[in-house]
Amino acid sequence: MGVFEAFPQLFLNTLITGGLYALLGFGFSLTLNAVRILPFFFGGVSLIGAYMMHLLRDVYDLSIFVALLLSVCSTVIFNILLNNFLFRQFRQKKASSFNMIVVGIAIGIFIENLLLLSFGPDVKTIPLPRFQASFEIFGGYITLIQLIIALASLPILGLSLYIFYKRFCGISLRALIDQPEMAQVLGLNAEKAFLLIFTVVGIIAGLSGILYGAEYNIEPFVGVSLTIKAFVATVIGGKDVVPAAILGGYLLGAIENLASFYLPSSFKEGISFVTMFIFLLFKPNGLVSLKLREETAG
Amino acid sequence: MSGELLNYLQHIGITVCIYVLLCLSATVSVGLTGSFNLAFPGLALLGAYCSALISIHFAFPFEFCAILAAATGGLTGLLLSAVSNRLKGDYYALVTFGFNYVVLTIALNWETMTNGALGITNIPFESFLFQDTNQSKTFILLGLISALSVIIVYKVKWSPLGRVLASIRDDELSCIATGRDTYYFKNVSAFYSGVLAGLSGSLYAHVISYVDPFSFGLHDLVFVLGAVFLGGVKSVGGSVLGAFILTIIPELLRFLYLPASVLGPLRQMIYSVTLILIIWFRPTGLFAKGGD
Repeated sequence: MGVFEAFPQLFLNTLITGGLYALLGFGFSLTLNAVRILPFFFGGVSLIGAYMMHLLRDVYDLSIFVALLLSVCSTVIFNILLNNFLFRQFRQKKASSFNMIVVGIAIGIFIENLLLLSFGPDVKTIPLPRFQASFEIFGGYITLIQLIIALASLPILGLSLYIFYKRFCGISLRALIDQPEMAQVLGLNAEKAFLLIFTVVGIIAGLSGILYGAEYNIEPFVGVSLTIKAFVATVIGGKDVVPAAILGGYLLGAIENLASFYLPSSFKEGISFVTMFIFLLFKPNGLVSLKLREETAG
Repeated sequence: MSGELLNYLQHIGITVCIYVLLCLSATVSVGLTGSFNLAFPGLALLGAYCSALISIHFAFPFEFCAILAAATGGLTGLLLSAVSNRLKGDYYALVTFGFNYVVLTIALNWETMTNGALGITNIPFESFLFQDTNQSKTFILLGLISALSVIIVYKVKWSPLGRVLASIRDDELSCIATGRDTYYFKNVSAFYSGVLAGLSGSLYAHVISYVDPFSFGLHDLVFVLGAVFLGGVKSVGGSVLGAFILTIIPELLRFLYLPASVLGPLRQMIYSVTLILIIWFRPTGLFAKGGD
């Protein structure tokens, strides 16, 4: 089968994985730009959402919506705890950026091993039997849950973008991202904004983790791989522009699907890194960049 | 002292020696130069595979394999640094972090060469200096190698090269202003760091006589950073002490007789919590001299 016959299926697969990566990348980029830390623990937090969903659905057998609500709540609470008990202290101590990277890696490893300890190393799934029916669009096959993944990212991202660009809290947030000192001089409360950011990122992380878990298998080690996808989406989209990560996520999805058409699928992890290397070498600011930002970026 | 206890202590000693080398690799790049180089687990894995394959296919003595592995690690580290060194701090950290995954992917997928996830077994350990090796001789040999490496890194730290590296770490802009090519010096430091990582991987492969794609990975990253930060980022002796402490603490957990499925994750959690606490309370490390 040539690439052209497979095109409809590849296109659908790109929408599915791309939607997921866009969601992950958006959350990652938001944390990176607003809080100025590299959130290495981002994938771990979304995996907490997926494991909570697994626990509530598979073990306690709750209804889908209650389970969804509770597991998203769990990631939000986790994120807020991280902010209040760790990152606020580190901000007050003015820890250097390398120290923050190291702390991020340490939190990521901690979450991974916490999940390993509490759920064991074997593969878990989120049972959603009613969503497995498959149907045909444009000559490609897609299941209901995949359709939800492909489309779910759109309203979430749309809402975030609306808040980000049109609502007062979003605009003040952007002011804090662009000029932290100036915005604080003008009376914006940075701590409040950080809390808001961590809440929003918690929601996005939880939802993306649950969507991932509904489509793929979840293991404790998946968290790192999710972080990597989110990071690569952020870098190739444009690390200084938060919504550009959405573009990057879809592009990464397209590249991965095209590459896995020619190569064994186990090369996926390597491919995302090779893509990132190429972008960092030839277009280090990503697809979308602001010229003005280059002078102020530090 | 009973033979069993001696064996156990020697085993711990051998582990410490291997990790001291990896910690030194991190000290050279992170501590002495201040560049956010996180590639050392990947380079160690590369060195381990390189050494194992050479000794199996060509039946070279251990010392020769180790030298080749160190050279491979150093040159790869140099190449990686030369390509990505101009990136700003955080992104350099991420690229070098990503390098670990590239090595892991290759080790997992190049099955004709690396035997995939099963790893390479029965790696010979035929030393040139010590005929018919046993555990005590292995321990002495590894102790000599790591002591030598510590001395060399300590000498480098106080050499003219070390002072240039320190000035890059403390204030890169003023270092450029004095006419130093910081790009070149960062590459040199990445080379030394890679040599130490490759050497450590080679020792691991021959002493454990087994290497698989997960021999060096994220868990080592946290262990090594934990050890380096515990002892003091800028001090050579401190990172050696840090490696000692972080190896011995989880060994004490053994006496609680926990099952292996609990012990592994618990150990990693201890490392990561140690790392967070150190950066929280004493980011310069326990044994750093006051002021810096």
